[in-house]
Amino acid sequence: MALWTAFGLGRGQATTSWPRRGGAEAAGQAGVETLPRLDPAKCTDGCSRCAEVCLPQAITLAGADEKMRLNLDLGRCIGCRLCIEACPSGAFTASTSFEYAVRGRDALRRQPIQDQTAGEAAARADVVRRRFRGSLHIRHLDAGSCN
Amino acid sequence: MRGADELRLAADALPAAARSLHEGGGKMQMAYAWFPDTGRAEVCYLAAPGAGRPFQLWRVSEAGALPSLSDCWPLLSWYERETHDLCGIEFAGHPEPLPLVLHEGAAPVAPPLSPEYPRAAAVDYSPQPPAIPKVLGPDVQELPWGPVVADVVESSQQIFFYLGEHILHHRPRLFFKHRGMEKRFQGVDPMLGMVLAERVSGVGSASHALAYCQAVEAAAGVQVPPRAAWLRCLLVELERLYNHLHYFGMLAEATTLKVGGAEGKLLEERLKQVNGRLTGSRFLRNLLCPGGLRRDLEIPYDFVRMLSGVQREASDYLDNLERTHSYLDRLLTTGVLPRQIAFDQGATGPVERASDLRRDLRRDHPYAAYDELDFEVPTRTAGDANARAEVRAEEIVASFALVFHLVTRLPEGSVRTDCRPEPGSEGLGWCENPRGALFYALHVGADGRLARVKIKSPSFSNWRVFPYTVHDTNMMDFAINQASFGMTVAGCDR
Repeated sequence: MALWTAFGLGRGQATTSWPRRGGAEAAGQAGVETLPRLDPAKCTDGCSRCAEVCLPQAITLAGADEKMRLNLDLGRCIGCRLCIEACPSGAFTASTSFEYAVRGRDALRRQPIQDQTAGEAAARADVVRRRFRGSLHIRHLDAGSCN
Repeated sequence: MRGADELRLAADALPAAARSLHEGGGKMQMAYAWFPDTGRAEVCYLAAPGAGRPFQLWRVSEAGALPSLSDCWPLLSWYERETHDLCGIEFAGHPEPLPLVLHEGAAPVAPPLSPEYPRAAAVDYSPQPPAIPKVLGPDVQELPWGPVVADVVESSQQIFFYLGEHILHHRPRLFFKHRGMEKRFQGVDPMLGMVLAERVSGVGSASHALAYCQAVEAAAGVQVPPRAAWLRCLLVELERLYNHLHYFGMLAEATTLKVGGAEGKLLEERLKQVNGRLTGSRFLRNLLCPGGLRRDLEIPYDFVRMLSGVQREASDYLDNLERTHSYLDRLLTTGVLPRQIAFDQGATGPVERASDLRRDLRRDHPYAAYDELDFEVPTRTAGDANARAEVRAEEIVASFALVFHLVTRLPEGSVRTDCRPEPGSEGLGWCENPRGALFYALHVGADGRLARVKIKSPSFSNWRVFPYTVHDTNMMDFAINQASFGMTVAGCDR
């Protein structure tokens, strides 16, 4: 067992410096795409290709035929990128931003989502640290997640 | 169906055909049913007469009950039960005609996969106790463990009949995670279905998408460009790597080697980060499509360096595990799976290769660019947990070698070609997933949309086999043995 004890001590900590140092690089997630960002102003009249390819029906086009109002429900989105590829006018763009936790389901139904800045994330981490004096144990009840 | 030779059989010719396949040294892969427009169900059996020979699809038009083939091919027993539950087909003489996919107390208004089933209607269900044979005897205890269990694991119920430490009989009860994925495919545009395939089993996204896309390409009679074929091999080998490192992390954890468990999972995480940098997706999603890849990949300039670093650490890690007596002691002679049982009950992947069944779809029925690649297919004969681990350890070495070969010799050119399967076309696709043989059998409807997608998952196969290594063993070995199999529930349950 000396082997593994020495190994473990030699390895040290694997925890990343996020959010003390913000951004994907600090979290080890450089290049990882998250959910798409939407610019409804770029939506072309009469086109519905994005809604047609969206299998979870996260994209809705509502309103009268002159100007369709385009909406993306991030709570339904599975990040498959088909909308980004289908849109002829670039209304959907890929994003690597992931720092946008919200308080309730409803906040995901409307765009735009505001990202936290690194400063905001670090400030929040300080609050957690002060109130819980160390680690925050989040209980995870599994209803069927993949390993 | 393109991708397989076809045989149309009458129901009463099935037993003879099954015996003849057995005597000829072939293997039965799976069976399923679907509902063509004719109104009458058709039952399909996928047979593999031998390595290097085309698959065979036996097609039987159902009129009343079919004879069960479980006495000749025990592995078909679960497929027949699933086909009964989801398609309402009877199999006369089935040795265990019990519910499998729809639990006791489920009362669908029509067989869920039949066209009469009202779309998006929930199945009426009031929980009943499982219909399992009881083990009688003084002091025998029954323990139904799960489906909600501690830690982050998938939901399944493990039922034990035991006396103290001795397990007399074990039954896994699965399908708590049945999501009706095959039904969800119905009515979908074939060009979008890979999005669903990627989400059948999260850790098999690339291999599921590949088998699906190859089924569509077979139906459309299309070959992908060489660069796409090579990139596809790269993706599924990267998938094999992170899965196998996860496996060792879980196995070490199960033997209470905490640092060993953490290191395995850290190496898995490093590989997922490599995937994220290369493709934008840690789980290698959003790349494959029928016809090739949705976009080209640029290999990062430091990709080989990054991966070499992980390879060296993985190699040291596996060496350290092999020198750890407490870990080896728990694996040697644990959960022995004899060769004949592995064959009869349908074991697949590293599990079958650890029990001296030398089968690998990449070599026996090459797909993508595998016919251009040289690689080892490791096997063992002991069939114990240690053998199952050793097979995967050697597969890690082989996969690293393949990945380096693939990235340094990628052909130039386009990554996508046109692919439009005609209405009424059918195709078979397959892939050697990290857990074993994976098949997608696909039927396109008259409207050009998917009419039926059947998914044969390696975890479905191995969950059936697993209890044979548990009966008559002891409680202490159970979790380690289960970890040594390395199955998912999501792939099995769909």
